[in-house]
Amino acid sequence: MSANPAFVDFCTRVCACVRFRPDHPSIQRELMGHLEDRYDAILEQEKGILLADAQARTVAAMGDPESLGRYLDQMHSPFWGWLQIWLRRAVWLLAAVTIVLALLRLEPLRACLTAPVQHGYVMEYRIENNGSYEILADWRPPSTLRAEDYTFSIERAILARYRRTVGADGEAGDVLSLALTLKAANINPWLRGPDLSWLYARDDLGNRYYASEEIFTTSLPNYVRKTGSAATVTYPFSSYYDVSVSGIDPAAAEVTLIFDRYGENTVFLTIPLKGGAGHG
Amino acid sequence: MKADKNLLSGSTTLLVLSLLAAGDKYGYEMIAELEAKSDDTFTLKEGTLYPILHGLENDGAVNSYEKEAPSGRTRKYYHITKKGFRLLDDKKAEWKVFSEKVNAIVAGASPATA
Repeated sequence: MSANPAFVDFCTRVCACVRFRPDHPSIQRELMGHLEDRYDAILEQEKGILLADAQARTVAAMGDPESLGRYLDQMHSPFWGWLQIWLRRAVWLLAAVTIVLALLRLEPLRACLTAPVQHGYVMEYRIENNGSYEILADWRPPSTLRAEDYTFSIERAILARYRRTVGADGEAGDVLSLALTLKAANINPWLRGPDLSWLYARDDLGNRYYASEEIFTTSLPNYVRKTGSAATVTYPFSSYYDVSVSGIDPAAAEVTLIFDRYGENTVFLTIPLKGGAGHG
Repeated sequence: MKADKNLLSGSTTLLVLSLLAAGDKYGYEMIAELEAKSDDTFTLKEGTLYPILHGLENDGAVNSYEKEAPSGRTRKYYHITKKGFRLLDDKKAEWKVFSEKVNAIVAGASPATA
């Protein structure tokens, strides 16, 4: 049904006085609805009335359109109206920007959480295995330790046997070497790469393996070697260390890494050597 | 008898809120109910209802929503809020005082009975 032109004209004259244009459609719909209802009521109450008369009475019942428009204009302030519209737009824009930023940051975050294990020099050397070592075991020990909000775990361990020609005690013989990729995880992305300078090791037979920061020095018969004092690689949630314990007594069943800080020994991680003396 | 327009103008907010207190209504429905309940005593220019409703909506005394009316057409319904009920109470109290004062004066002006 097409809109009655007299009613449309009335609504147009009302809206012409309302400065806040975004509210025009709503005002027009409401007034048009009212006019239609009144018109129908007149036609029903007064059977036989001329349509033109009913239309004129309907419009007249509404009053002066300009006067009504001016009243409505006071209720539809352009200032507050536009302020609301722009605030709403600003909120939508902010939400959209937030979503876009979140999506952009999601990929690096996922990459951090699923950061690949990074092996250091010693572990890579063992993995490549140039033939000078006999690999006895390559596994992931279940040992984990929680300390100072860090979770330490061994991502990969390679136990190798090699023949030591001349040791500090002047004896030759088979010894074991344990290469480890140590992982330190922390939910705080700013707390990465804890300093593990004070690390040494001990086996179940009582032998100590002293810390050495030198990468290629092998003069100590038994030693714990790390590729530098810092982590091999750090991600926001995890750091990897390249650690190796060399000159292990073949009879040892397990090696325990010990954190010696401030003169206080803290058991760090115990790695059971698969088979221990039985490797031979 | 048609009421003086000026008498009605001060109490339209009270009348509108009273109508809405009974349930949600759209503009024409309110006008029709007002006429029916007052036996056509209250007939205001129908357009004047809308600035009142829109003003009440700006003040948070009512809120509105569009819904299909029994006629099948979509109409803008008004709903009285908690703030609207508080305003209605104030307006009722105001009206009570006002009508009492008017009645007192009108009674005093009546010719003395023998």
